[in-house]
Amino acid sequence: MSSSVEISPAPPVPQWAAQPDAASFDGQTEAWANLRRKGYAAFSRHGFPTTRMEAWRNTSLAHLIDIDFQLAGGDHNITQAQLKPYLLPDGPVAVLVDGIFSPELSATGGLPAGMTLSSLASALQAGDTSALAQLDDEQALDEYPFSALNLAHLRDGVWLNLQPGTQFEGVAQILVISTGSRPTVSFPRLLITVGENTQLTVLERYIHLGESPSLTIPETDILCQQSAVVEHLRLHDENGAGDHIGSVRAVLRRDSHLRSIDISTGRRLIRNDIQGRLAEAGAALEMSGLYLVDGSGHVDNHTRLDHIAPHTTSAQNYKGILTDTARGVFTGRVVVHPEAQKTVARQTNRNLMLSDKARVHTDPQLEIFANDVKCNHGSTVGQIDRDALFYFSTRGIDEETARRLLIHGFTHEVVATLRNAALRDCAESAIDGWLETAGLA
Amino acid sequence: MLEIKNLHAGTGGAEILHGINLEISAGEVHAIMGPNGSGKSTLSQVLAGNDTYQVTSGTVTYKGADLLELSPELRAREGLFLSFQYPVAIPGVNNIYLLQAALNAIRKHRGEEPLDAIDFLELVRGRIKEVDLDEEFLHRPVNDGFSGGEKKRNEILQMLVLEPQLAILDETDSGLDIDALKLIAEGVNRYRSSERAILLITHYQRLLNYISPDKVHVLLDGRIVKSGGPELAVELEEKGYGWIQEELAEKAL
Repeated sequence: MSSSVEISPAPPVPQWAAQPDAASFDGQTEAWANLRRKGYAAFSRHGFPTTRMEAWRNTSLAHLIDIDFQLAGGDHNITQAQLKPYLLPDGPVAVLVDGIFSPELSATGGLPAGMTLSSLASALQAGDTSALAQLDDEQALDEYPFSALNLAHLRDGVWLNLQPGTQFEGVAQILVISTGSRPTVSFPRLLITVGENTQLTVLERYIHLGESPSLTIPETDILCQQSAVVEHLRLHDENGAGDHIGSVRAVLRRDSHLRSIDISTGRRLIRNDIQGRLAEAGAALEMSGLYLVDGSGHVDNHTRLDHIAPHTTSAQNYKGILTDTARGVFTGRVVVHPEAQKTVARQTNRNLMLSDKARVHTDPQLEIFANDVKCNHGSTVGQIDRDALFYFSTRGIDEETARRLLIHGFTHEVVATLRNAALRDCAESAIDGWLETAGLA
Repeated sequence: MLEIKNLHAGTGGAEILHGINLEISAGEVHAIMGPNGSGKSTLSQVLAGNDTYQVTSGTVTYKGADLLELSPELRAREGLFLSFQYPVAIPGVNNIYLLQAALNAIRKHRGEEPLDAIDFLELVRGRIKEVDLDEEFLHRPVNDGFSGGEKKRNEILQMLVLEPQLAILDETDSGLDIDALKLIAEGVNRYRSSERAILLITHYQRLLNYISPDKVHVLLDGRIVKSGGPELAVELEEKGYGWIQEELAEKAL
């Protein structure tokens, strides 16, 4: 008698996720090249994600496999004027074009002493071991295939660094552009390191210029030392042609505070793999997001927060508005480690469905290994409140205006947590812009 | 101003109002009193245009036009106002946005320019004092986390800002302490004029100690069974609703 074990064939790896070619290592230091090889080895262990993997159960990448995305070279003919609509009236800005730092489009002068906003490749080229060390993260490589793939293709990016004691009152902007007269893939890397007793506000914004489809696979690392205070807004202005599979990794040291808000809008694929590590006592993390999805768009927020040290606090508030045949996914995992007594962790996910063909999957996961903690989570899926619509109508307000007020009201809770007024305005105009394109304004 | 003739209405196939007849002229204050379940709130919701309720027969004429043909927002823009018994909480939408959107929708309908932010704020600041609320109240989400009394005062604030011609106050007195009740009564009394009409819907007589109605109607089981002057309210307070039911039973024999 013989028994047979069914072995599924390894799923195909698209050509754009194949091993980086040898030429791409030219001019890179040995340590840099080794880190990239480590990244690709980790990606190979994962394989290309399919819906058979638990973390990708509700998000299919099948439509991306056969697109002939080419690695873009960073050459471009973009002008300052083209970028104006996406920039704040003043403040420093670092511009990445298809993942490559563009000195001519960036404006990084006039920064306070102790603050740098510059090309990541320059630092790596110069053999800066601290930058290299920050990029090397075992847990990220073990859990996130696209974090590993991003590392494998590490060519350039932005490094925003604050020396201890540096307070920056303005808004540091990082504009990540994808271009293309042909389908392009890019792997931007954003490294944000803030020393002890620093304060920073960052706007990270993705835009797509060009007619061809693009795929952006970025990673943003935010590493907060003791008592750092950081506010971070991540906006996706890529139009319908730009798919996005991004990672955010935040590590918080003692008494540091990070508020990070993602606003994912549109009618395409956005996957956000968000990881937060509360590594030392007193760390506080607010991770929130809005996903406003129309057409056949698909937005997946996949969060994992680790409470490693005692007396740490996290709050997650993810809110979605879905219309047409849009899909939303929220998976929120909170792990409270055995040492992390007095943890406070709160998580909510609320969804407003504007169409009966839209769908949302919501999956909160709490894993608690400490006994003295306060953790709660809740998720809801609902429609526009008919009683509220009637109430507005009895005050003379037409249905369209009432809906707009209610939709703004739904998103307001997240936007209002931003302390910086310029970021709040950016968030509001992103929401208005989406309402307009989705035909809801 | 308002003429209701033989109005039958209900919800989900069950009739609640079995032929209401009521006529209110400009300058008048009418009170409809009745026990729980008599159809008081159904009547107010039907007049405001809540489509949860269906009108099966009868007519309602408002300022000479067929009210039932108008959408709720057109009714409001034509000067009909309902102060809700249980106003809905709307998290995330600030009270001031609702007030401004409402006032400007009504002004536009009247062919008036929208008020700019400064003039609007000046108007609201004047009115909010009349209901003894703090200005900070305008920047709280509509009815979200308001106490029972705050919700009722907010309804009256909206009435004072929107200046309707026909105000229907549904159980505005319930859940109010005596000071709040007096305050709201004073606001309503100041609001009375020869061009405006008010319909008070209430379970208890106590509001009528402070707002003297021109006419009082008793609503029982979906019908107005008795109408009279202010003295009828006093009689109801003393004797309850039972004696009217007995009187009706005797007549039926």
